[in-house]
Amino acid sequence: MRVLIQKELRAQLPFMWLVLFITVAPYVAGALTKSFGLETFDKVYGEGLVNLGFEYTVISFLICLGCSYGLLVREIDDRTIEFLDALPVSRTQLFVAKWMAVMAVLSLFPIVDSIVMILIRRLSATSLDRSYHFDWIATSMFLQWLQLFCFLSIGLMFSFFRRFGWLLLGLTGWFLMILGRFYPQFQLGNLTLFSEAQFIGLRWLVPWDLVAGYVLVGVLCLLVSYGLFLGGGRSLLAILTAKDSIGKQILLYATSFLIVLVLLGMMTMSAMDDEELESEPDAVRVHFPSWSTATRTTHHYNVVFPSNLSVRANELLDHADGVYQTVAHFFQYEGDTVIQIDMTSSSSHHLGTAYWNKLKMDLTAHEDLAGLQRTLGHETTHVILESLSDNHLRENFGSVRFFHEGVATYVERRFFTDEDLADQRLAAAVLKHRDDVSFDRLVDNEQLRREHDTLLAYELGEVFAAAIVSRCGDEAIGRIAHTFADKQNYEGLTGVALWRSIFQSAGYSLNEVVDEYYTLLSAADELHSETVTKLAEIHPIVQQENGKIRFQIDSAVPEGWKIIIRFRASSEAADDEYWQAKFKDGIATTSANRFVGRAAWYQIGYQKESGYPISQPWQSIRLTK
Amino acid sequence: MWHLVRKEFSEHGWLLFIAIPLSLFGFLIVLAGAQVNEAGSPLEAVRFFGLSLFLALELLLCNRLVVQEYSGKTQLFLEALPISRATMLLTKYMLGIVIATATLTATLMFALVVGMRGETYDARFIALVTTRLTVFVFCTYSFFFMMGLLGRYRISIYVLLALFWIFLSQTTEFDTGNHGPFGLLNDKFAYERTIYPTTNLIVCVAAGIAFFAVSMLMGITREGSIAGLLAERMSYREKLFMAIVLISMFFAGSILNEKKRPQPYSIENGISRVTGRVAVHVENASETEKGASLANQLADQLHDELVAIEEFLDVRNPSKLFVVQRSDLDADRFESAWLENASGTLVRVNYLSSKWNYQEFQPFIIDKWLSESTNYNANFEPQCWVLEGFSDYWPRRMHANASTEFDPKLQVDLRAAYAGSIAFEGSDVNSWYRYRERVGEPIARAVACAGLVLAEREYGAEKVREFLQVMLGREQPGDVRADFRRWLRPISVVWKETMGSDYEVFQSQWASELRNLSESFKEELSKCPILKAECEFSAKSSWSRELLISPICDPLPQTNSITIRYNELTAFDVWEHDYESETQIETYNAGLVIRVHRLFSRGERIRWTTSTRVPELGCDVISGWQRVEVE
Repeated sequence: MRVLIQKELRAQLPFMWLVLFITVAPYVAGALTKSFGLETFDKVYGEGLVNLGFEYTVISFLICLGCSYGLLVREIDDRTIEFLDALPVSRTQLFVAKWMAVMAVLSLFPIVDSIVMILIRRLSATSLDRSYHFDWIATSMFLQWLQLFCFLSIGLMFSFFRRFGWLLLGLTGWFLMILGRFYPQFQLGNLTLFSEAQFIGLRWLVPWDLVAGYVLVGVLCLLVSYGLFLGGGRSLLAILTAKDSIGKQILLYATSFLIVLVLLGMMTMSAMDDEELESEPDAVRVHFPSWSTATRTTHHYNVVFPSNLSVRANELLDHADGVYQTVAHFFQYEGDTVIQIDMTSSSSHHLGTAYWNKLKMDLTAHEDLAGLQRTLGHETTHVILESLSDNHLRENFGSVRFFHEGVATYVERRFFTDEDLADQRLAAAVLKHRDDVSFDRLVDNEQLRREHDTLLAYELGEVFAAAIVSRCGDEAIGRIAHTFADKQNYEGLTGVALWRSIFQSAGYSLNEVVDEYYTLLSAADELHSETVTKLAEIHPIVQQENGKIRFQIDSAVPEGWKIIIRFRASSEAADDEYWQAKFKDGIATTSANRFVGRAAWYQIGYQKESGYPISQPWQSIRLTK
Repeated sequence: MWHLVRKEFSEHGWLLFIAIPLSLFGFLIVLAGAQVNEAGSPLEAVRFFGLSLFLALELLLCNRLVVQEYSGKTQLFLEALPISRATMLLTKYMLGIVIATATLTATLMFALVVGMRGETYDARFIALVTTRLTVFVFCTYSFFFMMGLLGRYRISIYVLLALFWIFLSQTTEFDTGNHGPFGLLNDKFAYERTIYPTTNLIVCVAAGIAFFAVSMLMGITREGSIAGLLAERMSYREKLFMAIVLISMFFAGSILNEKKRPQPYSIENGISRVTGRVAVHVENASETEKGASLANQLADQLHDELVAIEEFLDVRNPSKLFVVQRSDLDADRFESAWLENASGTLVRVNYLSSKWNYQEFQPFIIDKWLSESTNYNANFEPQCWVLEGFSDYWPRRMHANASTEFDPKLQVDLRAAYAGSIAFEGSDVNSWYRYRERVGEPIARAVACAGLVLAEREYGAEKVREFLQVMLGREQPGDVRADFRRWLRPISVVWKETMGSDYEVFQSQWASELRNLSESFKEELSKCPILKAECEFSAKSSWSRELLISPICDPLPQTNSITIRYNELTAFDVWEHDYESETQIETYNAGLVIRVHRLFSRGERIRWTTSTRVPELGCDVISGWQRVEVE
């Protein structure tokens, strides 16, 4: 057996070099660009041991596939298995020797990584914490090893399907992606052992549920590949390579079956939406004929709208060119492109959406002309901004969203409402009062989404737009948008750096505008001080029992306001994956099972009957799973 | 020719039977997704499909029609038939492109039918979309066909091209999303109704012709032997070699990117003062004459200061300094920025405030500027005290006319004496971050300054200068050479070499000097309170905890107020900046128990302290930052 393992180890030598190279190369590259002694602890262990991220999983998966695809199957394909069968060793011994050799090589990944981590820690530890945290290293090695074991087993099993293995892998990935859409805990990012590690104090909480899943999948796949190696592999090869074999037919049927399955799944999902249909198949149903669509062209718009809303649509379209001229005049925009408007669809999230020379509006959102004009003015602003920037604003969505929404909100409030601009800044005033109006965060939509509420882009963005106008004049916003048309003005930049460069190119000073932004916010805070003090920060008392999390508010809610709370499965969850709970007698509850990992994320805030909520930043509590 | 087509169908028909419906099914999912996500037009789905599944389909087609034929050497049989090689290749090419075009056409038709309900389509728009798609298919299919003939090197070339494309988009100003075939299906595809992307169309047609010509050349030249040779399978070693080469190129690219020195930062309306390598830019944010005069004054002060320090320390790579005005900052609040894609030291302050005091700003700016100029080597913990000490030592040197005698009238000396009265051991120098958390930044800086003053008194100004030059000046590498340098010449060795004395002996001397100083300044220190505090957690529920803090201040604080500061910690203990903490101000009275205005959850880690302002010291004193886990 020892001889066998040695022989297999020799065969794995090239892979060993590759594994060593891949593990060490990033550190060698790092040594040429940074001093390890100055690395902070959260960088060294945080990114090197604990939260290795999805990329690490992908790389280790690819390496495992590389190792496994040539390990067992090649003996069968090259027919060298027949020579090995002639030796006084069993197939089981052969299988075990090969598996041990390749696992030994793969184990170099966590071992070398950990050694390098310890060396860097030796160089960079500070008096704030000099410990090497060997318990973390052991946990990390265990999890890395388990992940490699599972990936290798999957690779070994799929390797017997030869090129169809890739197809199966793809289908598995596809299936997981669809599954993840409906059940966030099955999202690929959440299935890795190294994403969003949770700690209680200094104790790393091992995700035992995931570990169990990995062990189960790993052992099952290993057993299947063992069975195939014992004899099934040859038969499978015959099936896959024979002409007009049943293998092909099986594959065909399997693929067709899969397609039907997915279709059925989608139909079921659609059917589930119709509760009446599901619960009472014999119930009376009423089918109305669907409405036809109508079109109308004005000087600036080409509109398709549902004929059932003709009166409303026409009333708006009678005034639409006026709206356009108001907005275009503000931006000194002289383009003559006709904007396409689709008024046939409604949205639960938006009153309207704008694209390149096109916008969508929900006619059902407002009955009054003023409301529709506001929406049209808002969305037309978006279209003109995009046109001025030659569609480049959209390309920098993460850094410019607040500008886009802020300017549109500013135009909407300034030209299409009767109220004074400052009077409409209550939400901004509350946020300012809580010192929650950082400009640096506003320019990073992803950070805003992760930490707070992307709706801030509207309220705070409006103040920023007002600050531009106040400091640089009415023409400034259009000029700034137009500066985006030349990519040289922002190439390679994001966030504040991008804005600084854009302002500089447009001939303005960002600092002055940011200064004005804070001044306007302070003014709003003062103007609304009476209401602002009533809307104090909320700190709920949290309790967990029987898989439920209870949030209790013991402070009084100001009249005309209500407290809202929403949740997300993890900090990476998308906006449309959030869910809400209602407060009843000051208490809201949610199920602990809906959260991924060991943290329950919640966001609390105030809301009036209508209007955007005024939220506090996202907060998390640890779960007692 | 028809026989060849029949042969291809009989060989690959079953796969096409699966792949094409699957692709179309994929398109339907994309289309449904686009509708659910409220995309602007169903044609967005065609665009997405064209850039994803359709490219995969083309790749698959060329793999089956070309790669499999050549790698299995079955093209030799075809060559034995009475048809030319060119006909054989052309048949394969035409068959593939017809299938690809038919698939994309089907998706386009379907999207147009779906879209007709919400959009109006005119002939020009349809012609524009069709032209874009036709050229896209021609260019991309010809490319994949050519790549198929490159045999065993095709995957490496795909990876190389992908890396090159990423490199191009990230490090240059080339807009990859709007050029080549990707430009034909850019985000205007579904909406642009009038303007033809003429340049892109011409480039893609030319590229398509070139790819096609290269394919034919490879398939025909030397009786097709080039394509035949390239189609040989790669050996195991060749595969590993290619893998290592590709990975090395990837890392080399990332190193080049990291090593690229970013352009210096720049500010609008800046008042600049430049002498040699030292450059100071101060934003002139005010339109008034007085504001401009203050900006000029600050620029002059900073410039003179930094030029003198550069000369004193022999700083070889001084960082460019940028100061911007922020009127919503208190006059004693200074903030430094971390610059991405730009170099220099950027700080924001409120120098227009009537309470602005340059002397308070001096230590801060010296610290930040030297950190940046030394590539942060000066912040390495065992030698961090030198940087912090120098930032107080330099102004003290100017104000005290280079006196090495401690003076209670100097706030910096009084702070050092205060530290001596509460706690300072020689070994604290080696645990500087921890010590800084115990006494607060201003006090720690004064202690370090006292160390330098003492050293000057004991060993002479020249030796101290030599020591400071090694620590804070000269050439400071920002890579692994810095680690080697610190390993070969740690601060104790540098001390020995420059001062000629033992580092540990000096540390003990330093501690005893501060103790003596606290005795000498006893009267002045009598008004300075010593602050202590204890914390306790009280359960609000099984998981929510309330933090109760009991401060003890002796003597009573003059300002009559106590500030609680706290912030959350991760499991990784790193230096936290004080300005990141939350604060709560309370009126002090004996036996006070402060209830922190927020709840914490069990297992959370926090860092907290109490502080009070001491006017005599010109700074806050703290009870010491404590890192605790919520029980």
